[in-house]
Amino acid sequence: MNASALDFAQTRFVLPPDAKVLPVAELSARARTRIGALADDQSVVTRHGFRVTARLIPPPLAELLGEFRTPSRITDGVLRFALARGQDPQALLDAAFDALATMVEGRFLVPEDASDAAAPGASLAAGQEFAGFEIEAAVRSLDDSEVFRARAPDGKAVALKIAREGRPEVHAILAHEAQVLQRLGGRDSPVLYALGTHAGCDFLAMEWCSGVSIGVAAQTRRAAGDRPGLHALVVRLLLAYGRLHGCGVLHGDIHPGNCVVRDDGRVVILDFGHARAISSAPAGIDLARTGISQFHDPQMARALLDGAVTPAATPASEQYAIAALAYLLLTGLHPIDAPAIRDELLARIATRPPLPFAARGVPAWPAVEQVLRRAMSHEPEQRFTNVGAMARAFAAADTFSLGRRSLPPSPFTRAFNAAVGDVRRVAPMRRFRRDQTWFALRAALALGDAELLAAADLLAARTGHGWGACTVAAKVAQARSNIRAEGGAITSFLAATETLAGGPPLAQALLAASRILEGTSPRCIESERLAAWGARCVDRLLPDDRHRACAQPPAEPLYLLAALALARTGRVPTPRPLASRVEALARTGRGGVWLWALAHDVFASDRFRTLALSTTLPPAPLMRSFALLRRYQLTGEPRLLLAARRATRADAPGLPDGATALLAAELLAPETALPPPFRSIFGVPVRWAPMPRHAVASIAAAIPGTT
Amino acid sequence: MSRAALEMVARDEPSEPVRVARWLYRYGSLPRTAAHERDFGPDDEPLAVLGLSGGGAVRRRLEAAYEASSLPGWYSFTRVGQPMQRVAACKLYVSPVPEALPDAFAPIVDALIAADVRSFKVGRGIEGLLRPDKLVAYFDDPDQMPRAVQALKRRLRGCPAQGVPFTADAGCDGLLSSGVDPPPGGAAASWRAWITARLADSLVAKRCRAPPDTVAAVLGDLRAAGIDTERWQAQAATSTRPAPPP
Repeated sequence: MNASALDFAQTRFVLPPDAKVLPVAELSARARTRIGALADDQSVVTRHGFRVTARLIPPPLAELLGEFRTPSRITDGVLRFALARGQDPQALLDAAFDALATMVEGRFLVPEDASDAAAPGASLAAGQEFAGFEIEAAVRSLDDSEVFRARAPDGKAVALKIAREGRPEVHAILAHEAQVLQRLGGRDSPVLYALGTHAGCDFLAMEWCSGVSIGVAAQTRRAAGDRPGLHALVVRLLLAYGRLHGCGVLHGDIHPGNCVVRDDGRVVILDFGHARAISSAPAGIDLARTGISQFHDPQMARALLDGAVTPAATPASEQYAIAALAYLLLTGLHPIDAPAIRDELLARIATRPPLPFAARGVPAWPAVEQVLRRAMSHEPEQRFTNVGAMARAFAAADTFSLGRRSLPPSPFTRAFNAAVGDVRRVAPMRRFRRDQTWFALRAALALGDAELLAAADLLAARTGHGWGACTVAAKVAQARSNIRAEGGAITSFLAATETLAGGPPLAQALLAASRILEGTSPRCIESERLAAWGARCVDRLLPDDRHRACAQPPAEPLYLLAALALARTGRVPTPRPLASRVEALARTGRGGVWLWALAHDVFASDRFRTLALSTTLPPAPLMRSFALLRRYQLTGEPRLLLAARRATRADAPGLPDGATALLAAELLAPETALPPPFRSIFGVPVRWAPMPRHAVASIAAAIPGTT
Repeated sequence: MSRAALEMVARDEPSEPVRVARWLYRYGSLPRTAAHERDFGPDDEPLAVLGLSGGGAVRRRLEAAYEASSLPGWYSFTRVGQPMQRVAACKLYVSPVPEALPDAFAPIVDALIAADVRSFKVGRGIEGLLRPDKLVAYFDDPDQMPRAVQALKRRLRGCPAQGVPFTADAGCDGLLSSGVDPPPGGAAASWRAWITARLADSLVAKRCRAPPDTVAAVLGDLRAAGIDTERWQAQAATSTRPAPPP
């Protein structure tokens, strides 16, 4: 719809009944985590079944939209809203007009007599006949078209795409798709059966390809821990797209929903409505170019961000999208980590490389990652010459199997086995019960060991009532999928932190809270209370005081670390002064590996990554190893993993066995390794950042009972 | 495995029967990791891993013979035309490790269809697939179970087992085991709930002894109550005829 062609003064607009305006506070915790931390009073407006992009809107606009549940002219709606709230209607109209126009452009407000003022439903039912095809089931109903599974007179299963009445623009799309399918002749694509018009509706009939989405096929191989199978699946995908390009066709809308894997494993590419011939692709611009943002290449993302005309798709831009899809299939995660805010995502695509697998908590796969990095180079000329070449490079990459994880024979093994034996015997340590339980949990997670987890559960019940013990209990409950126990542990955690006035003790507890929030179940109601407590406490630690004296408190790195850790969970809004205070700290040269690594995660800035990789490593062997593991997670570089092993082996003759055993457990799954969120572990101090000597002394004095 | 659970909890000097029973019931559940969250997926997404999402091969096979329903914590499948709620004569646990499920679930379903199993259920969500008793098949006629066991053994050779504590081994190194639920109307709804409650009561009652003695005394209690603590079934049961708890 062209909003500029409408008469905004006289047209009566309606917010259609199917349009949902959902307050962020009412979304599930999982959905909110996906969107990113936002103020709870914002709302999401969406329309299911329409080709519209959901948008975030501020509270006044959400309320103003409510005025259009009954058809109204813009001026009438604004007038009613303003009078009901004692506001100046003219001022309000001036302030709100652009936002309302955006709602009209986004098809959330539509003219009352428009065809899309009502929710689209299926126009045909099972058993009905259409153009000689018997309808079996409705697959998808959109505002401009429908898709049905049907049966041809000869018994063949058919996918039937039908344009809705009064949507002549769909005819060109169907005709174009038919032309492409004919050209492909059923290779890696459905076979074309018919293109025609019936009862005034254009339709396209093609082969019904039974199977599952390639996303599901990949998920199945990932769940089985079957890297060779996953590799083989992605090779088939790349070869199929390579052949498509070889036929001179660009697909134009790459995402997992457009690839089906048949029962025999063949990959079929679907939906050629946006396809175009490579030879006929305009060299410069394509105003009709579409697609899902996660699969845009950097040039397209930049154009959309700048509001510039969009560049035409090319084999190189499509190679980027195919590599992004391959990354998603291999890891279950998108290559660019961003909140579900479109402009933020586009900015990151435009400026950032794909994250290493280890940075997403996925075991590194260096040979495969190297191929994907090249295919996702920001400069198109640095990518592979074509998708076929990419497919060959990918096929040649090492397909090692993950298998069961074990420690190589080393000094770690003795300490690890001894500590595991103690846990299995439920022989609690007299001094370090909390730390032993933490070890039991981390070892259980690294080994996937049910018995160790059961023992951790017993130990956790006898660990005590401090916030550190409650953190361990909450994490054990999470690993046990025991929501009730998790809720109980969080309630105890909040009770245990009531006496914390502020300063370093509070920051340390916030760090622990971030760990709980990172793995909490969306069904655990108490996690909402914990997140709210975290938000309040961070505001206390980092007050939004723009006139604050410039001097940084001695524990500034710890405060910022806690705030960043909470922000990364996506459950707590990023406090306003965080960015500037992190910048200020960066100028002083203080901070440590974890702080800069977290700043990199939260602000997506490569400068912080550089700082994390160049800052001084902690001198103490345990934290030095953990710091090297964190650097490994940032880069996926195997040499850093090796260095983490060596750091403790070479330098730590006096390291307690418990600490050595814990490090061994973390080395079993280095992509998820993390230091414990306590002040000390098995008597070894956990120092997150280099601090002046006097600050260390004052912090230690201020945190009684946490060691 | 069952013995290891008893020895572990005995060393902990248990004092609360309800808590101990719950711990014993959950024993053998695998830890939920970030990788499970990511690869199996949240909420009902693990259905896809079992081949039960739209278009999935297993789903298509099941749709032809079974009606599906969702229960808290479970998906249940009942032969078309059969009532869902009926007291089963016995039940069979099938316990592959979660990572084996993507490849094992289809042959399991094939075997259950071939053996004409009246109904079965599979754990819902990640937590449902991490528990040891993740898949349970129900039989009206005890004579029907051996046929299903044979069909499953043929199809699941080499499949890694998780194992269900306190159930009677039926083959494949813990992959298959059986139980008989107590009669309806009692305090415990299932064999495992019944046996773990009995064990917990006894463990708390005998806790003053040294752990090995406690376990021996607890097992003695159970034997005296008519339970075969080697096979974890009622002593009245035979290899061909299961029996409910006494």
